[in-house]
Amino acid sequence: MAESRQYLRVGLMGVDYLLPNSTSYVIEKREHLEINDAPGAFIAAWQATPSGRAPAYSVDANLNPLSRHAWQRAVFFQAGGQTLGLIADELQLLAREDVRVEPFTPPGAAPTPAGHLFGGAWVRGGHAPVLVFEPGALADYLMRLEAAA
Amino acid sequence: MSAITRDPVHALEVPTDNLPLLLPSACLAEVVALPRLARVPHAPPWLLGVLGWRLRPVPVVSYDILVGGAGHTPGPRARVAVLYPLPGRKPWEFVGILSASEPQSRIIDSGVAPAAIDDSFRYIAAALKFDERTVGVPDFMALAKALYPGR
Repeated sequence: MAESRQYLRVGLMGVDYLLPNSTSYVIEKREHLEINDAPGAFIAAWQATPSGRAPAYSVDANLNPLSRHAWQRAVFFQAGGQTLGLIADELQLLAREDVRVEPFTPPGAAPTPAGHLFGGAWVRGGHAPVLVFEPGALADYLMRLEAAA
Repeated sequence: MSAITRDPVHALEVPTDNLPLLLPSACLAEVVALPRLARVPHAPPWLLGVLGWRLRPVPVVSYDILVGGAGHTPGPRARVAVLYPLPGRKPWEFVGILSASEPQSRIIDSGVAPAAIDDSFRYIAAALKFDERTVGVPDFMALAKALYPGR
C-alpha cells in the first residue's frame, strides 16, 4: 500500500471507506455534472473532461450497483490513466496525522484481475475498522460492473 | 489405537457448529468478545468481516463456512480466537477464528487418544478424543493456503 498524506472519507449508505490521495481526486457537486436520467442507470452522471466525459458510478455500501437520484456529490479519481467517479453520501478530507492506517489485504481470492479492493484499514478504539480502497482495483471493479450491466 | 505420550500441551477448545477446534495456546494471541465487524464487500462468505484488535485490522473467519457448512449469525456468547500469523504470512497478518462460545482450556497429555474423523473436515492435521468428544487440531499450513490462495 502506497503511503498517503491525506485520505478522503467516502460514506456509502452509512458505511465509511477511505480513498488515499496516492491517486488524485476531485469532488464535484451534482449541479456541475451531466445527469443520467435513464431509469435503473448504474452511471448516475458524467463529468466533462478534455478528452470526453468521465462516468460517476452509483453503488451501495457493499459496492453493488444502485440506481438512485437523491444524491449531491461525487468524487472523481484517477487510476490506470482513467478518470472515474463515485457517488457518495458523505465526503470528508482527513489529514494523515488524524488517520492511522495499517496494511490489510483481505483473505480470499482477489475479486478483480487488478487485485483486492482494499489495501489497508483504519482502526480506532470502539469503532469498526474503516477499509481503505486500492484505487486501481476499485476502478477496474467499477468498469467491469459497467461492462456486465 | 495408541495414546499420546508426549509432554503435555496446553490448548484451547474452540466450539464451532461442526467439529470443535483444538488450538495450541502457543498459536493464540488472545480471545476477545465479538464486536461489530467491518464487512468486506465481495469477500468469500467465510470471511465474516474485519475486527479492530489492538489497533490492527484482523480478518475474522468462520471455520464452519470455510468447510462448506451453512454457518449462522453469531450469538451474544460468540468469541474470536485471535491467532498469530499463519505459516508464511506477514508478521502483521493475525487472523481470527469465530468461536460459538467461550473457548475452554484443555491439556493434551497421555490420557488423550487420537481419533478418526470424516474426510469432509478439511484443514485438520489430527483429531483427538476428549472424553466422548472429538476435536480437530487445524493444519495451519493448509489453512494458510485456503485463506490466502496464490499468495
